[in-house]
Formats: sequence, structure tokens, C-alpha cells
Amino acid sequence: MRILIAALIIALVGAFSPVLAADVPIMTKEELNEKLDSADVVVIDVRQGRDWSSSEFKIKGAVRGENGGIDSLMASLDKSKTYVLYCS
Amino acid sequence: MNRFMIIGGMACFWLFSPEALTLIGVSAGRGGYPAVSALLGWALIIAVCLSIMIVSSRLTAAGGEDSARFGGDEPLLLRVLLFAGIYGVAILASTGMLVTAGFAFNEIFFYRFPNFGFAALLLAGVVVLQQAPERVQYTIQYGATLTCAVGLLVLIVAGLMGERPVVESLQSPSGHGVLPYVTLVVVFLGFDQIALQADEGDGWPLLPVVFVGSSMVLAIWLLLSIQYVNGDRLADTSIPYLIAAREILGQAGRSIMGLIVIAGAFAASHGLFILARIYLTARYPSARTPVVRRGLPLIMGLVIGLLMVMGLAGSANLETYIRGTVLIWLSGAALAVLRGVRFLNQGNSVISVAGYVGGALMLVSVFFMASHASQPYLMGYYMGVIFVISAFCITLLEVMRKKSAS
Repeated sequence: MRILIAALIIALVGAFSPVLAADVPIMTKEELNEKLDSADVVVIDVRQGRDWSSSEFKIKGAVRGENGGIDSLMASLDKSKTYVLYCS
Repeated sequence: MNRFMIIGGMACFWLFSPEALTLIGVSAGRGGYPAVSALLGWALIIAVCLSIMIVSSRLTAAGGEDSARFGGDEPLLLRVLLFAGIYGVAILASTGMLVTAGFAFNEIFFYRFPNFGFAALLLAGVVVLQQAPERVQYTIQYGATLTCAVGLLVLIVAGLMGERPVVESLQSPSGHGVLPYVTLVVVFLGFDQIALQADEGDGWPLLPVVFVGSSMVLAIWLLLSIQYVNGDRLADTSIPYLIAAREILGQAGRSIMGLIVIAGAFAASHGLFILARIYLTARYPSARTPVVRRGLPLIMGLVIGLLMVMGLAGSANLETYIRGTVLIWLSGAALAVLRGVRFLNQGNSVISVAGYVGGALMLVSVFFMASHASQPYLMGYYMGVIFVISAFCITLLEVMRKKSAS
């Protein structure tokens, strides 16, 4: 029984971990789809490692975030544009 | 328990894993048609090494003069290398493969279900199954491996019957040198431990046969990948199997490959958990307790779960770590083969020479792959850390064994 509970905890931690990021503004795929052709919108694919390499889907025109972290990324960006960060 | 089910489930779990399928696809893209010969060549070499391991381990298990001549315990260096390799791959490769399976489920079958959640559920399934009786474990292991084999065969038949598109191989596959061919040895990782499965029963000659048969299936898959997908696409992706399946059978091919990836990741992770347990219980009889049998997979599952939550799968370094542990395991397997040939003491026989050549080739391949690693310093540092930790664990286990013996 204890083992089953432990296994369940592993599953739940994994299954509901996206909830931890709930306070980050999220754009729906429909909203993004409407803006994809705009020159002022840049999609940054910040997925790394297997999160990126195992995924079959890559957004057309998206640029890949570098390894330097969000601070160095933000410092290099044109602040007049809208940036959409895409993670897994 | 049907020996064929045990052998089938254990001999092929790594061969049909997402890791092996990725390696085969990328090698197909980088190496072109010679990669087919390289894969079959490695399959034959490993089949000889596997047979040597089986015969030597059976003679050891039989006891008597031969067993005594084997020198009793294996050298400490070999024991540490295998411990580091098996446990390192079981934890790190499982982390990667389960996450890959999570993406396959999310992107192919049910996009509303979080990929990470599915990976965690799969991990929980592996841990729970490890609590079940061995008969149940091996039956499900066989079922998952068989699912992969049948799925691949369906795609192969469809690919052989379908019309090949016009594709281009890489303009200069030689730019990668012999690396695409050398790395194919990784497809056969774990054969040294699988050989130990043949200790009991009379079905052991099946093991090399199943091994070679499965390798031939993979060789045909490699061939079809070259014929259906451009070389540069295969070489530059980490999901070549999915691209090839889509080219062969469209959406249905994608779904079949999704099933293969999920079943393969489950079988490979569960198979590695079994090998980790066998490593311990075969060498340390005092570990053959229900507490160890149930507790070890739980601890391994918690470590993998923790690594997932910490985001290791999203780290670019994970591949380097996996490669490091794979190289450690392969070097241990090569030394085990050389030791097995020496034990059989057939200096002039063809098998013996083939065994020495096979073991030596594996060692050379390990050095070659290590010298061509993309992050050599990180990998070297990591391998050193893993080796030291493993040496500490083995020392601890040896002390405990001597204490319980005295």
C-alpha cells in the first residue's frame, strides 16, 4: 500500500507540475495563430534538451532561445516587439 | 514461466528502445547504405560475444573445477564499471526515454494530456510492476517488447510494399568519418547482462538467435529509413524513427511508431530495472530479500522522478551524461567478454579469436566515441564522478558481504 502511495505521488507530481506555472500569462494557440504573420511578433522556442529534441512539433519561424538564461536573452531583444516564449 | 518469453522480453528491450531507434536513424542519415553492413557486422560480433558470455556464465553456474578456474569473484574494476554502467543507464536513459514517450503520447495521441504527466505515469507503472511477482513482470516485459517488434514489422512490410519516393543521401557522408558505424555498437548495449539470463533452463541457445533475428529487423528498418527519407533530414533530427514512419505509412505510420516508442520506453526502463536488480542479487546473495526486491525499484523510481521534476530532461547535458554511462557500461562489457574468452581457454579456436577481436573492437569503439564526444570535458568529469561513487558503493557492499560471511 505504501509503495502504491509513493508511486501515486510520483505520478501526481509529474502530472500536475504545469499548475506551478499558472501565474505566467498564457497565450492560447488560437491567439498565437492570429499573430503569427505579424512582423512585430517573435516566437522564441525556449525548450532545451529532450524537451526540444523529442518534440515533433516546431513552430515555423520560431527562433531558439540560447543557453544563457532569460536575462541575457532579454538584454539582446528589441523592446518594441512582442515576444512569445514557447516551452513544453 | 515460459523461457522464450523471458528471453524474448529481455533480449530485445534495448534493441527496440527509442534510444536505439534514434541511433539507427541518425546513423542511416550520416552513414548511408554502409550503415546497414555496419549494423549487421556488429550484430554478428555481439552474437559471438554473447555466446561466449553465455557459455562461461553457465560453466561458472555449474560449479566444479571450471568454476574454480574462473577465479571465483570478478575483478573489482569490472564490478565497479558494470555497476556504474547499469545503474547510470537505468536512471539517466530511463529519464530521457520516459520523457520521449511522454512527448509521443501528447503529440500523437492526446494533446490535452501533459507530456510530463504521461512520463510520470509511465514511471509509476514501471515501479508498480516491479512490486508484482516475477512471472507478471516478465509477461508484461515480453508483451511490451513484442508490441515494438510487431509494430516495426508492420511498418517494414508497408515500407517494402510501398513505392519509394526519390530521396537524396547526404552529399558527403564521409564528413562524419567512421563515427556513424562505430556508434552502432550502442544498439547492442546490455548483452553482457542478458547473457546471465541463460543460466537456468535449456532454452539458452535461443538467446543469440533472437538477438541476431531482432538485429536483422532493425537492419531492414535502417535500410527503409534511407530509402524513404533524405539523408540530411535523418542526420539532423533526434526523432528519425517518427519521420521515417510518417513517410512510409502517413498518419497510421505515425500512430504505430508512437505506440512503439511508448511500449519501447516502458520495456527498456522496466528491463533496465530488472538488470539493476539482477546485478545486485547475482553478486550479493544477502541482497536477495523482499525488502531489496521491492525497495530498490522504489528508490530508483524516486531518483528518476526527482530528476524529471528538476528538469534534467530539459537540459542539454542529459545526452552527454547518458553517453558517458553508456561508454562505461560498454567498456565493462568488453572486459567481461575478454575475461570470458580467457576462461574458456580455447586459444586456437575460431570462436576464441573472434571473442578477442570482438572485445578489442568494443574497447577501441569506446575510446573512439569518447574522443569524438561533443562535450569531452563535461563527459570525462561526469564519468569520473560516477566511477568514484560506484567504487564507493561497491566497497560498501563488499564490506557488508564480508561482515555477513564472518
